Amino acid sequence: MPILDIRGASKHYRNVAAVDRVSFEVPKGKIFGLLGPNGAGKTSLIRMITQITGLDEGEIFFDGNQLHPRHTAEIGYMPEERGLYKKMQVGDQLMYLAQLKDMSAKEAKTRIKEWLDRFDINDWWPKKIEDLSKGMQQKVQFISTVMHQPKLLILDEPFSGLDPINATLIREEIFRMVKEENISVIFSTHRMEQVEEICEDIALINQGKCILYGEVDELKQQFKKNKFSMQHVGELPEDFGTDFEMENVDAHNHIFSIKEGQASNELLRKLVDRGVQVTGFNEILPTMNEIFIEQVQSNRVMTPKTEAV
Amino acid sequence: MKKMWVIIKREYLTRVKKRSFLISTLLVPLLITAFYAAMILLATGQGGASKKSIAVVDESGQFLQKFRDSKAVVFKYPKGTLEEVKASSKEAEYTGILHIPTIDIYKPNDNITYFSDGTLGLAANEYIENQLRRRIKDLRMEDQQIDKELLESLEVDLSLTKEGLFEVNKDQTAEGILSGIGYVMGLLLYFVLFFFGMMVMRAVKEEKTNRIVEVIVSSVKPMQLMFGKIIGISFVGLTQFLIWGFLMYGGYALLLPLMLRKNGIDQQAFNSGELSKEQVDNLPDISQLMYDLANYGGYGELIFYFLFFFLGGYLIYASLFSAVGSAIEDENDAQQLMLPVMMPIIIGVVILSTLFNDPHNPVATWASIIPLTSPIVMPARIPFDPPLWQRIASIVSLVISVFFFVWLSAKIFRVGILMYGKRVNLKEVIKWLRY
Repeated sequence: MPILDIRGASKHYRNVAAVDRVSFEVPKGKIFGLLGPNGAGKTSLIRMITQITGLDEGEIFFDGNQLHPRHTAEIGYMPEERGLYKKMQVGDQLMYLAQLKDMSAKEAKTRIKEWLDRFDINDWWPKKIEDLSKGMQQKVQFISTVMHQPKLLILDEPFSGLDPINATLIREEIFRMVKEENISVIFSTHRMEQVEEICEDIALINQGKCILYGEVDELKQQFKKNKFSMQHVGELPEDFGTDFEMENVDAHNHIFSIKEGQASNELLRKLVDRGVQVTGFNEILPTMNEIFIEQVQSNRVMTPKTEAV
Repeated sequence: MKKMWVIIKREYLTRVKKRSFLISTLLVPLLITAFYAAMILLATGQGGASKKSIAVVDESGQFLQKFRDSKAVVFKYPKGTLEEVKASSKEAEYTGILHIPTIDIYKPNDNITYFSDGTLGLAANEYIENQLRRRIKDLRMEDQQIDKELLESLEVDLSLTKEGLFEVNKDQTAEGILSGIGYVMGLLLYFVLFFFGMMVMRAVKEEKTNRIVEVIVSSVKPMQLMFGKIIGISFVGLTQFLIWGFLMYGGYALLLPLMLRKNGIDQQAFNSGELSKEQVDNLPDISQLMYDLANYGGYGELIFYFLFFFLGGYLIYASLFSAVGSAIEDENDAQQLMLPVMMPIIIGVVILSTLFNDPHNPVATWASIIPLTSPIVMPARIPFDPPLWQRIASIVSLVISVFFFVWLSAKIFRVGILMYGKRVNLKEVIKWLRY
């Protein structure tokens, strides 16, 4: 059973559809990427999942049940616009937010202490937020998102404004929680390189619609252009490019596009037959960035402007 | 509900724990007391222990030993010319010298001079002029051969006795006291609505500027957040009023016996309103006022209306102010949105001052029924006993509008708190109502 099952969710602001009949499932115990350019409707969709706003149409199921206010305690949300009460102490602050997530004061205290220990910051309890550095504040923010042991973690651009050390620390922590605690994560971003490193599945949102959805590896297979890069020693026979479409990267590195019906082995055999000293041969899969740009652009062409207005 | 208590608790504790809360709570009554004490001292000229000793140089011979001394002013009659007295004034420690040449008692102006290097003070000046007037009047009567006792016996002392028309035991406290109580009531409500409304607005804005609001509303409903803040801050206000109430009562209980002992009045009789008219008239002004206040019969009614309109008015204005707070990111943007919320409060206060002349004038009557001004105007009119239909109309319209304005504000609040990076104007806010 998926942790989240979104069926035809829609949200309109005045006459504009911010989210337009979006459907996808978020699998349990994995990291799910929610992608899309700025203003695509990611935040609007997340706000429906976190029950900040309601749905105009459609349904959302959380762990098999229709989304209900009690589920807010099982979701941890780190919004893109985030912050803490500047004048409050770290401990008081976390206690307050934990109690808003339905934790008892006693339970919250143990849990918070555990997390402060884990990040090696257990002397921070009486420190005021405004006295902490930006990176330190982000750690506290992260603890506030996960301390109530949510089943689903929603992170909206979690690494924006984080220095590399803290970003790595938090990334490791997310991986650990997925592995050890079987937590599910929705990772919302427009930075594609992060998606490839982190996510197993993605949904691509553009202009309020879900235009692509599936496993990252499968999508790469689906959108690959059958291109292979080959490195070699020595010269390439001069007439070699006539059988296969070929681009020169440099004298010892070439990219071949294989046509429909041709196999990569055929190319390889031919290269060996012609006495080319092959040192490297591998398929070029599209990056998520390329798929993203291609899909967003083709989607824009397909959608007449009048419909958006 | 439990979550709302968590919010209420935080809103309350973070404010009450602040040092500025303690300071303002204790300092405000202290400053007010000090201010009035200073005013009274200045006005009566009793600043400190120094008595004014005035040397009278009387060349006419008609004023010698004729002035009465007071607590603040003592008259001395040294022998010698003006110049001689001037020369000895330092030694004799005169505050000033009053020089009266031989004068025409029908044209005394511009002839009598007061010499001093210090200021006389309003009260002392008034006192000396009065003494001169009195003496000159006596001299004129002598001159005209008017019998002073006869003249005094012709003076008529009269004041209207007021009784209820049908209700026999109708409280007939002086009009002055009624308008005083009413005005204070209205001003207090104005202050509360304005001050705590602004506090709610700032509290909501804080949520936005700290960028924490989206985290909060993913745990609680916007309504819960809004009401948590409104209720939490109302508790802050109530705490403050409670402390002030205790301080005031403490001051009253402490000072009253002192004052009464000085005037030889039995405290029991004072509190139960058993003093004779004569006794009351002989009290100093301030104690007379306290006597009237202590024996005003309408407190039960007054407290009921005050609390009711306080609650209703607070709910309306606090939610409106929280809606404004949700729409703004910095205080400069607030002006345009605050104006429509503040207007009715200000109008209410302006109407308050018309109650002195006629507590049942049509503008005041309507303002006490229309919901946005009624929380200020109606409680102020209560001591003047407005007709029942007006009271009912006012209560009903207030209750209805509480629901309406809370609903309206909640709608704006929900959209506003999640709106960033946009300068918001009134037109925009109205659009949010349709989201």
